[in-house]
Amino acid sequence: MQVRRLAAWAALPLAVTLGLTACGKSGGDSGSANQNGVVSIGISEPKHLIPTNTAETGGSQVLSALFAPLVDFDEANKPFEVAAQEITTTDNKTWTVKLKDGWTFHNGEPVTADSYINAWNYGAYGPNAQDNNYFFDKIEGYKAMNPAEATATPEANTLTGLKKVDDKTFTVTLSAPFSEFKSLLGYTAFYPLPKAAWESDTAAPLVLKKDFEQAPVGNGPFKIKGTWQHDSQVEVEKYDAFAGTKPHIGGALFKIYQNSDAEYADLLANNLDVVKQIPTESLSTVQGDLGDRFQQSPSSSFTFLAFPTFDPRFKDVDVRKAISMAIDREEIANKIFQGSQKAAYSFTSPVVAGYRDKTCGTACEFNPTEAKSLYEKAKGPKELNISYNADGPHKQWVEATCNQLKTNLGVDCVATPEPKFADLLTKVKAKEDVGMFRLGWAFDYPSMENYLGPLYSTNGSSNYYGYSNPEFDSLVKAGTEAPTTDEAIKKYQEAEDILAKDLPVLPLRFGQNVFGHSTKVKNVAIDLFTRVDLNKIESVG
Amino acid sequence: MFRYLVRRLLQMILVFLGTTFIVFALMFAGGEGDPIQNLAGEKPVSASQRAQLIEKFHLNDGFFERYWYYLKDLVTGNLGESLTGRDIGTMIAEAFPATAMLATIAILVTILFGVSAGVIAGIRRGSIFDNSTLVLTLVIIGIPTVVLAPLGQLLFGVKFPIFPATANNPPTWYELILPGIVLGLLSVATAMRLTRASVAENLRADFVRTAKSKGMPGRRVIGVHVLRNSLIPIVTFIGVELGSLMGGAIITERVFNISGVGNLLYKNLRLGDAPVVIGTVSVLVIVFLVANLIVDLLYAVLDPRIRYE
Repeated sequence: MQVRRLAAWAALPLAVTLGLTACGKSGGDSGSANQNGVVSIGISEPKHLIPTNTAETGGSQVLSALFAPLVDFDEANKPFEVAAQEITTTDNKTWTVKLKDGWTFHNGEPVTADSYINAWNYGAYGPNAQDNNYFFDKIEGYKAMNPAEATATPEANTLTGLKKVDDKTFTVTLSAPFSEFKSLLGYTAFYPLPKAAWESDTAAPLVLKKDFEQAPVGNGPFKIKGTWQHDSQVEVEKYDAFAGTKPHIGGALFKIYQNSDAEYADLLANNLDVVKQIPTESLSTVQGDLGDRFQQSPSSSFTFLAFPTFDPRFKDVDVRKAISMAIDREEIANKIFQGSQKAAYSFTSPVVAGYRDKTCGTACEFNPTEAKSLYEKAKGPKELNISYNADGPHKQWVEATCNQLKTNLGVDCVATPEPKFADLLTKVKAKEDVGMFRLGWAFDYPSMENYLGPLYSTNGSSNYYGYSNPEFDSLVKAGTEAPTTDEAIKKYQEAEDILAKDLPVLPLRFGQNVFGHSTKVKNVAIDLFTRVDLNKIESVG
Repeated sequence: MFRYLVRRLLQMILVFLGTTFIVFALMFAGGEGDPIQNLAGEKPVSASQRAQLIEKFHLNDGFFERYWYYLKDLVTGNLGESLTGRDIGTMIAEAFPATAMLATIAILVTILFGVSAGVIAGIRRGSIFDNSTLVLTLVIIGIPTVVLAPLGQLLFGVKFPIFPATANNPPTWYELILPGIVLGLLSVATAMRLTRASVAENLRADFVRTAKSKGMPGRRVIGVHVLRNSLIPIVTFIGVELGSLMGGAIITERVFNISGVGNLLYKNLRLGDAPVVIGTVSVLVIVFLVANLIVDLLYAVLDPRIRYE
């Protein structure tokens, strides 16, 4: 009794000192990292947590903890192997993927060639209606799994291009040579899935277990703790048997927020460690609020104005050029976006290899006097309008752009809202009068090709304005088939130069990640897919 | 009483069918653009993905056919699946408790501040208390929730962290006090003015004069004769308010990140997820109808003159 009481009295000051030192540590950035610390990161409610069905940032942030990709990207945005031992090809058409030894899923199951083949087949099978279905369209056999007649049952339920060599090796045959395929493999859609994901792993076509996404089993550095608590949180903890580079934290808590202002308020109250996107309204005060805990880094997003080819008003390239020259990009980027976006003078983003500044040339340089005389000479229309979707934060800058056109060209310009992006697309497809319209793009994989092919190729998946130039198409094709990356980039750059001449769209701005963190974490970095890099982040104190 | 109840329940079914029909028509037939593209955001949608979803949600069928599918499911208690494949019944069941808690706090705030202040103001008409509360309610009515909620959060959640800035899911009562007060303040002013007017009117009523003149103590006159009779319009107000609080907390829930019904509704309206919106509204309509029924039944308890046949 006596001894115990004594111990209690002795323990008290000790506990106080310990508590104080702990406090002292958490106060500054210089404290040593806590290997078992849990960091909290704000995300939006994921739509799905299945690799082949996750296309938004909330879901891919969670998946990046649960899964390890075949390749990731280094500082220069070049791919390097993570789960893959090596990825080789001789002709850019057939690629051999060799996996590293000793990798397991969180349930102990070894990661094999089948883990990849099965997951990809599932994603490519049309009737599974996966959001990332189109990522598999370069692999041989895709067409047979996705018939043009949408209601028809596909003839095949596996990709003919995927062949297992042995347990740790498989080959991917593409329908056409594609030099960037290795980069493509860094995307969320290409994670493997364990046998435990399937109702039966021998069934054809494969059927995913209905509740698998409530607690996905991955091959990544973290395993899920409990299940996905919808509209609340997803918690992950370190997976001890992970064979790759181990992270510096014990786990991560992904807190789901319904709106970004609440998320930011929680960061200010130190209840949340990382906010990936500071709300635009708070950008004017963020420096004072966070000091050096406010950071910026380039993102892959790209905003531009498109000219629908069916609108005769914009047929003359000089009209398009004059409009472009009448827009003061810097002013909008600085005044409306508070520097959280950068004015764009090129068609490809600075985050990809092969980017050159000012490829748009004089057409994108702000020159109101020349713009006006060119516009008058080309007999540009007296009335302009710019359509935008009101469900995004576009009203302000579209109106500002219109005002610049009014002042600098002496025309009438109206910013026309459409309720949703889908409504805008429906009108464009129906060739209704939308005038110019806003579009945005964020890459699927870091490559110049991804800023060119889908957006301006004749059959590009996001070519909503109908631009078509056979010369451009063949240059992009030549690039994708080029034997080396450098040769590919040359072709892409030639293609980009055509865009500068034709001006099917006007580059406006490149996005920036504007993020902030609490005093409890350090080394916070956001990768090119707008995800917090969980391998770098550290917990302090 | 029993006949009245049956008649009311039959009426409720008609009202329910009518309101859901209107919501259904607005969501589906009102040129909803392209729900599948909405779902995909700004990414392209493959043909087979589109076909799958169209078939699953009967998007190509006629309007009445789809309303029929919906009713058929509803009768069996099945609210269907959201466009992302989650069970709508579960989604609502998860969101409902948070909103119910929030509404409870809001109603308590209303009663505590609104009704009691109203009673005092009604009894002491023209006093400093009466005038100052009147001015105060004017101010509160004048500030919209879109201002009041973030302001409350900034002051008491971030600058002086007395309360948490946001709520977790599921929320604790403590986390909901601040948003509850913000939400309740909206109806405090109305409740106060309603009570004040009602109390003042009853103080002048014949039965109060009679009670006073036969020598009844003042406390009893106010407690039994004035308050009991003044409560009738207030009960109506609070009953209806409870119904609208269930759905009307959209702004407060968003600001304080409460995963309740308001947020569910807002988010899915934005996403164009019509099945979720219709399911949520259907449930809200039921809550509203039941609240109204309870109010009507309470009349009889409060006012002996009212008898249901």
